[in-house]
Amino acid sequence: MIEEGTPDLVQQLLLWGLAVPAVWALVAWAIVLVTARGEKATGRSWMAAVAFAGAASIVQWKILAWPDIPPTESFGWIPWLILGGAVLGLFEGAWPKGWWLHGLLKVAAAGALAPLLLNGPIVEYEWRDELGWSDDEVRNRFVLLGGLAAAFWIGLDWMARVNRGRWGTLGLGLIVGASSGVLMHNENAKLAQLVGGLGAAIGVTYLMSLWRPQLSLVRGGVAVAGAGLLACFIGGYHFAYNRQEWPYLILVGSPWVMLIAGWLLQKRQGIGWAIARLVLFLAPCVGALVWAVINAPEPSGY
Amino acid sequence: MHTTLLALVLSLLSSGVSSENHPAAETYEIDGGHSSVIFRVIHLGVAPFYGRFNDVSGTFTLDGEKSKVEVTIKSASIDTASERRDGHLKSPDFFNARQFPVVKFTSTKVEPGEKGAWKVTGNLELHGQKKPVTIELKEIGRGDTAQGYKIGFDGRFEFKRSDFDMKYLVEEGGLGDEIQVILGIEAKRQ
Repeated sequence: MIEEGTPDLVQQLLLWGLAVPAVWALVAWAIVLVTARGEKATGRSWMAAVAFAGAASIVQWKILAWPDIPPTESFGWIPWLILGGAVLGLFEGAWPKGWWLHGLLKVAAAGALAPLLLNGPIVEYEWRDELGWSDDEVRNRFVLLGGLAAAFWIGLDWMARVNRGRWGTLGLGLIVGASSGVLMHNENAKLAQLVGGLGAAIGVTYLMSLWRPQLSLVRGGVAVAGAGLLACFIGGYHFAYNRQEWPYLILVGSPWVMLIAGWLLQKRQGIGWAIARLVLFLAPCVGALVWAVINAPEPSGY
Repeated sequence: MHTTLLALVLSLLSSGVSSENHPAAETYEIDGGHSSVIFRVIHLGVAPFYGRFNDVSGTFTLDGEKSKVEVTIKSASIDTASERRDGHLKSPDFFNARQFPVVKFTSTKVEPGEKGAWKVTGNLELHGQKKPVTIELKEIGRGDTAQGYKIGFDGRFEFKRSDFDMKYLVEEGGLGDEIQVILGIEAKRQ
């Protein structure tokens, strides 16, 4: 039998990995604009959770296959974690008061990510022998990862609050885009595509923020992006064989750079200050991506 | 007296016949340095691509239909002549070698055939899933060598990677679902 080739491979990946997730986000925001106006529409930031989690779920469902519960692989928890982030985002978007409760929930969720994704494989398989980690080292690593995860999530949340409107959406979009690239260069194509779907939804949200800058668009979606990106960083780094820690560490610090840029420059007017702010937004994301590309093994025709 | 002698002769004869039909079980240990596990998969729906696993070990006992086979392959020993591609194949996109470090075959039924042919049915544990497969083996040779008494087999079997929940790029056609495995096994008698 002569095989027939796969001419629609790229089209399929673009369709279900980017186009359909983007359309999903567009429909979500269209519903907000049609059903609510003015102040009411501003209060619908919870729709970001629906738009972002729905977009990532489409990629998971159509390209990566939806995992069982409990999943056989640790990575199978990631889409469920994204949906968990959506629940947090809906809660926060619908009930924005009680910042301390939202903060507490996020810190708890961030601290639980590493044990959830890594504990099973480390304890049950030969991985731990290979790593040579003692019980203390496993515990210390989980504490360190929990701290870094909480720092990233809090930074992301704060960045989106300080950089209101289009700047917050742009910041989130840049971090998600760079994360997708870093994951791709660390041999995690599935995670890169999952994050890419999230990026497509954020891209549409950014266009919406240009049109309706008064809307608070990303706040409800930060929990989705936070949970999803952290799960991908922790899993993507630890399960990879050609490991690079620096791109992930730079990405974890990137919301804080954007936060400081927002603090310093949000009241400055003029194109020069806007360019300065954009450069500060781009610097950590481009830095992480360039590091990942330069330090990836030679493709050797692959 | 005559009856006792006759019983002894019959007993000796019967034990002789028995050992002729069923030679004593022989246990062999796979020589990983001289064994090959090669796989074939269709890339982009047009071309066959071959790769190999460099770390194979195991034992088998030859005892007619009572024979047993157990083979272990380290997932992380995959070798496709590209460090980057090997890293990708070891990642959770495919083998997830951190979580599932070994591929294991354990026989459940061994059927000796004509002219050194063997049909070995057993369970293949791969990527956290366990499914039955049948390996067709052909004995190539056996005897004393400079490295001791050795035996060698050629073997082949096929499976669908999607059956083992390794589905990435199957539907899109980037990498085929059907995997053909070609075995070259050399083992030393214990």
